[in-house]
Amino acid sequence: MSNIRLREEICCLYVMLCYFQYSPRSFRLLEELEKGEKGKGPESCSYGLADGDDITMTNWNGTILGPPHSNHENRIYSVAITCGPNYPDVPPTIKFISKINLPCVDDVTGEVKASSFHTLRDWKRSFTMENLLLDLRKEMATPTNKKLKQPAEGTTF
Amino acid sequence: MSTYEEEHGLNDSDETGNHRNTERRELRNEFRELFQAYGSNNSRNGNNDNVILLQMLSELIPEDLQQEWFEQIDSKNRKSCSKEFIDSLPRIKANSIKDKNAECAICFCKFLEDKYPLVAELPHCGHRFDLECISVWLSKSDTCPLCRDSVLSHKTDIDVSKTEMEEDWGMYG
Amino acid sequence: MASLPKRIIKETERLISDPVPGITAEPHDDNLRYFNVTVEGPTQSPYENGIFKLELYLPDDYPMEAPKVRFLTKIYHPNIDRLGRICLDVLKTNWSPALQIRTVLLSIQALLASPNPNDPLANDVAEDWIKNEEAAKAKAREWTQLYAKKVDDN
Repeated sequence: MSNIRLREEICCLYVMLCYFQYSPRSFRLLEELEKGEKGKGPESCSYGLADGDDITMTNWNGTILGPPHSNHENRIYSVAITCGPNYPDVPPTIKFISKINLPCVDDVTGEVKASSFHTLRDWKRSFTMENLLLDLRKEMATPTNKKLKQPAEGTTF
Repeated sequence: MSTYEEEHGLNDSDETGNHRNTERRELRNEFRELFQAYGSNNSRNGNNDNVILLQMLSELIPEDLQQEWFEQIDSKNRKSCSKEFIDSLPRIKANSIKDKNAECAICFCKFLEDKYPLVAELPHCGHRFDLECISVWLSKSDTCPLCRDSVLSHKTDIDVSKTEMEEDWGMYG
Repeated sequence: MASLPKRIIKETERLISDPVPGITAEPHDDNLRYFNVTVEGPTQSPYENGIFKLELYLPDDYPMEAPKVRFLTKIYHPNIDRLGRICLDVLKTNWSPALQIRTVLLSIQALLASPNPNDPLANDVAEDWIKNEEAAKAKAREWTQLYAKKVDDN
């Protein structure tokens, strides 16, 4: 019994040590913001703070350029991203503003369903909002998803 | 005494939070070596082969990693000291360190805490640091941490005879 | 796994045993590289009588790399932007590993005493500062009253 306790405690200590040197939420988000602001990221997606005065850096806007050779080609999709107080230990929530037909997107709310989108489901601390946007773009381009019929351009959830 | 590398886990590769960073660093170093080996014009292979190889390599590396890596090269070219320069810094013997409490301004450890300290002295300003610590810093910068003078601007050639003299003096002094 | 470098432990101990007047810095219990900081506004500056909260993080490569610091209290200053980011040379290109948490925080306090609108981070504030320094200082005083007032925050 005491052995189990000890093992548990060692595990806790180990987890704590792993988190030890992780960049806190705010500095991690500032890094992501700087990358987004400087346009250092890829051209196929962009992201920035929804409110430049919000020091908690919770709400973000993003865009995804529809991948070529798909029904999404030349479309620009707007998304809203929310990084909660425990980001990046837990994934952000992400919601499409522009209407889109995609299996992992709730067809009423536009919310990306964590259970059916691998990047949210298997979230790791090292993932960023940029990863998330790029992976969604890849999702649009899969052989089955790229042929899905899409709502009229410019409509919103 | 633990080294900068040890304390910062630069040699660690165990399954911990730092793992990904270490992995990244290693990957980056490997790629850099590849680029250096095959990317130079002096290499024995034909130039065309190199270009193709570089293109193939660059497709393998994620964009952000490439960028980070080029930035690193850029900053390296801008201001840092060569390995040769760092290796040639004069060393100070323990018994020529007069002040018992003298400490390295980088790691805050007393030089004489170590029985066999490896202490280097910057040639132009005479500031002393643990060789280990100053080596890491000068691989990123060309300034003295204490006076901020460029360590390369004053004396580029180190007077070896003087160093040896100082060492002798240390031994018999 | 890298443990906490001795230097960070020493710095933390010295910050507690020999604190800087007008400045506090305490590490978080669960992350000893992450500090809660308060800085008192310098006397005879528009920030006088204000207590400003900041957060400071020592990255993996510290002290080879500068600490990351940010204001959490809203402040009207040409070199501090709306998210609390600070434009200060020692935090960027002029970092030296011989600097410390202590010296960085003193530099920040000095920046409050002497704003530098010619090297701005918050462009609109810097413009105000150059156009009408007295009005800008009045606004800075007003913000200090509004957001940085000394309160008991147990």
